Amino acid sequence: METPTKMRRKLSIRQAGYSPLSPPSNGLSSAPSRRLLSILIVALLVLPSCADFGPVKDYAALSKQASAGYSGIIDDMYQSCLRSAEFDPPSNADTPEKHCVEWKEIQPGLLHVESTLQDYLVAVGKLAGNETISYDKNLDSLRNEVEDIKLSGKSVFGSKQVDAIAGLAGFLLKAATDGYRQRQLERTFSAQNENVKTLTAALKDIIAHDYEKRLENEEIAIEAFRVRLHRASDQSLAVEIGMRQVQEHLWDIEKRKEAAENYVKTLDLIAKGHQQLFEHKKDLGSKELSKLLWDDASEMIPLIHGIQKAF
Amino acid sequence: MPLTADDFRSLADQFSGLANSIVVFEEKNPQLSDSDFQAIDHMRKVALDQSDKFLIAAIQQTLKDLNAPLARISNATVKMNESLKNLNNIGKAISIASAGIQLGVAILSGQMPAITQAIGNLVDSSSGSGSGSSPGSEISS
Repeated sequence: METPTKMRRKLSIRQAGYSPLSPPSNGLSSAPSRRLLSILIVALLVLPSCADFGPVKDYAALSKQASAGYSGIIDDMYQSCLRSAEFDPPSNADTPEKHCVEWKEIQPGLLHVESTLQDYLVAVGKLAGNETISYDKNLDSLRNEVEDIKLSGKSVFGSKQVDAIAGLAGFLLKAATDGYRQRQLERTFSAQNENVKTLTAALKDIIAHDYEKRLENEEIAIEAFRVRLHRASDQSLAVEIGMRQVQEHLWDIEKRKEAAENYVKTLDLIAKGHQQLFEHKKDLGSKELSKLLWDDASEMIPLIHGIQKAF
Repeated sequence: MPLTADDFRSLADQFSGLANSIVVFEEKNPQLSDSDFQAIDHMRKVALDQSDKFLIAAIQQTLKDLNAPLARISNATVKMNESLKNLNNIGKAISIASAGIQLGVAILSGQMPAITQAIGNLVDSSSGSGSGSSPGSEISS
């Protein structure tokens, strides 16, 4: 359905076509349109080519995937405390759940840190990608409007010219939106680089020190259990089963420590990637940046697989 | 002077180290009487519990220290999402482009009433008679 503005516009131009000042209608449909197309082509030549932010988008997607392993680690802090309590019952007769409640209570705060980083990376990825912009739908509406432009009751543009205008408009529109996205990303990377560094460094402390120390404390609790088994001088089946359990748990802890180290390495790569975005913020579509981020991604992928296997 | 997260981490390490030393001592001294063993093992448990408490304190302090940077990153995320909304609203830019093309046609036709009307239409489109923010202005800002 036509809007009143659109109808008024069409009517006005049609009425103008009958003006005594108007040139002969036969020449109108080709000359103005050719000149207009020439102007568009000149504009096309002077505008920079459209940017490819694919590497920025890929960096964001991969970093987001890497940070997903974090929730497993955070949950395992609490689980590690529960496992310790199985081998080393609390001395005050608390239940394991009560004994470990503080590990449970810090989970929301720790998850909030991770979700803030994830949300940030998702927004970077969306801004770097252009999937959210419905160019086709909008260009179809432009095509319809251009087709409707008439002088002296005749269409000004033929179908090929309408296609050309829509094509050029699409290019110009993409150039404009790319420029906008480049500026927004540039501002974001400038303002947030230090914050991302601080956040990833804090997460590294929590995982590389606090989580790994919790696992070490679990190992100590298991070793203490093993010593108690040794003191029980009998060689019963129960003691042998207990010894096997100890060994399996110790192997399990080694796997978790390895996963934590992989996660710490991915945090380093997330921070390094963001630093590269910051350093190349003026040219986010550059081949150099693309190569650097690709190298980071190649390192990150096996690390992510390692984390996913452990949790 | 309040303890920092690093201070808490250092304390957690020391108590964990103490607990570990006790386990090594217990293992190397199987001749310990049951009562001695239990007394020393109780100390080991206390040391481990203290280590955990300092780890939790370190994490809590780290989370406190992160409040400001987290708020800044969240704010940046909100701004990026607003930018995405502006990009999605490119229909406005399209209507300006369409009005521009009509003005071009009118000028090339040399008909004053058509030019006047086309200018009016272009002004209408550009002035944001529709709802929401103007992506045209955002895009060029």
